[in-house]
Amino acid sequence: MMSIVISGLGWVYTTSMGYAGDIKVLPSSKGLPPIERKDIFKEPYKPFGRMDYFSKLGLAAIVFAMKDANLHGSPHKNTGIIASSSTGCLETDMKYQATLLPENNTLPSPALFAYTLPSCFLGEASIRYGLTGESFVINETDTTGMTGLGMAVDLLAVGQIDYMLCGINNSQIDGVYDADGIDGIDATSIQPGAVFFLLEKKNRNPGSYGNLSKNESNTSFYYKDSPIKNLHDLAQKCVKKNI
Amino acid sequence: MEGWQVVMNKVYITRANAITSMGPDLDALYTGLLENKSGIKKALRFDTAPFVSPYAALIDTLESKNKQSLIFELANQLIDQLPPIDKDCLLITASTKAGIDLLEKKNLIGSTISSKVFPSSLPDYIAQKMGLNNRGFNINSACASSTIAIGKGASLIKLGHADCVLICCLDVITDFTFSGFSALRAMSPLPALPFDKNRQGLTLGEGGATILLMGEKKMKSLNITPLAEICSFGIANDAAHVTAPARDGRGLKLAIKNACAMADISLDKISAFNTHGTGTVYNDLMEINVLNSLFSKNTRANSIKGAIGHTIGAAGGIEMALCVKMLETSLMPGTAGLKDPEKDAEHYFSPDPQKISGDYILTTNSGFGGTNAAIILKRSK
Repeated sequence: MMSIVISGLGWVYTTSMGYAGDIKVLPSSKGLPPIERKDIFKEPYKPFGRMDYFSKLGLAAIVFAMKDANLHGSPHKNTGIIASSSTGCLETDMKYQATLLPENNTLPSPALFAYTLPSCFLGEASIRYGLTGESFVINETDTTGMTGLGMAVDLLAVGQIDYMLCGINNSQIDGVYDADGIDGIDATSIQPGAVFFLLEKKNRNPGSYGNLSKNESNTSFYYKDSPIKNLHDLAQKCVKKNI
Repeated sequence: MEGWQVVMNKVYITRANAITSMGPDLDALYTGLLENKSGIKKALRFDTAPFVSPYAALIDTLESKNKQSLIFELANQLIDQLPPIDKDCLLITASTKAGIDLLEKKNLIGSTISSKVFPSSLPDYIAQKMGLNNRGFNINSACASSTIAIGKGASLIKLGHADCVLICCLDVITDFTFSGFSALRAMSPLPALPFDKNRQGLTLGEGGATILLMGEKKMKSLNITPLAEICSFGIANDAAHVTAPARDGRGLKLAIKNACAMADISLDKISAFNTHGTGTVYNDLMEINVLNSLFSKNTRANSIKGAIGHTIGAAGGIEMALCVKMLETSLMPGTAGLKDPEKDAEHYFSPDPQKISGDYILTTNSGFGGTNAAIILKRSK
């Protein structure tokens, strides 16, 4: 068994956002909340205003995880980020595509186009914290986040990295989706929201959530010896309540 | 972390192929490059009048059928050329926008959208078509997507989590991507001229590649002769800017140094370097900086994007397949379009094919979000 420590956790769901030390409960049945700069940064942060919602969503969960792990204040170079997403930035893609329709009489927006790459929010987080480790998005049909989690644990195991941020980022997708000839994705089953974990080798943070382990065949993961199904499930187990 | 036993198996490329604007397979690409051919033409697939350039490197045989996304047509062409693959082989795809053209085919308001527009539908489609026992996953890290996908596939084999991984790398050019790069002013009005003083930007291209990776044990059990060894890889972020490279190339340097550390070789062992070489002013300056900082002037380097365009998320896979040919023949295709090399680039680049020596070749890609990835390939003996 390989074992690492979960030392931070941050999330934005439809019901609440924040981290264990600062949870903001949201009005029910309103979908994902608007994310304002002041929700995540006390100080002005110029790049925030230009970001699309998908980037703000993922960045907010990362910032909350960094605060929870007591790593918010200073740069942490040797840190990587792996984000899983089923939706990608489809909402932004649709907004950009709408600017191409002749009837809208608009010019394609370069600022919006830049955010039609779902990995851009990882760049935003890397800039904010000076993270120089690897960063990429994994698109899986069923977003459990476990493929990314396995890769994150491996990177810590081989000693290539000091910290890993690992999580899920899915925006809210409205509309009707046809299976269109493949098993495909059930859009209604995607849990909207973002959750990120800060993982490290050693138990540095007194407020850590304890150990996460996986078997050597990379097929099963355990939080404090209890099996976990996906990263949402892991987050619930860490904070010991519905979030 | 005490007690962690990390195995490091060897990883081999046992098959490599590419479909590009130069032709239907890797041989067509390699031969075409050696003959100084170009796949860049005026694009006829969509109206280019509103955009900075009419030029693109498109695959002539790629046509949308039954409102299908072009990406799935390209996937079909790649799958058709594959030999029988073990059903337990893990699938990883690399694509930035997958079936994004499906958005163009529907009215966005109040209509049903194909679920194939989701990026995860690409590996799902390929896995089902090939009858694999897994649904695979897609890796997206802008223009470094393929290089990272190959690195991650290799990592799974190195660590003993898989013994066979198929990497399918593909991106197509549609109104969506073409308009975006035009709006960003990243596009050259004329065919791209990587590393030339007169370069004005990139030319978009489309293409696909398949790279089949195997561990030593699996390969021997199937009596397969390897094409090359994936020696090591490194991935790093600039942490500088979302849409522009760090001018000092700090992320790319770190990715290369990490790859060398994993391979346990010094930089001077690398005699050939397949660069990203997009033809944009800042990307190429950044790479020239990295070349001059890390490598001797005896190092041979090239970019193929002046001939097949920038194939975005597929670029790393296509270039990896090409590196296999370069190691096999010890001949690196020239840098298409190069006439007047940028200052400090003249030692490394040539418009003509260059002989390469040594056992190692480096290939790198960089992209939006500050991502950089490097892979070192070793000659198979």
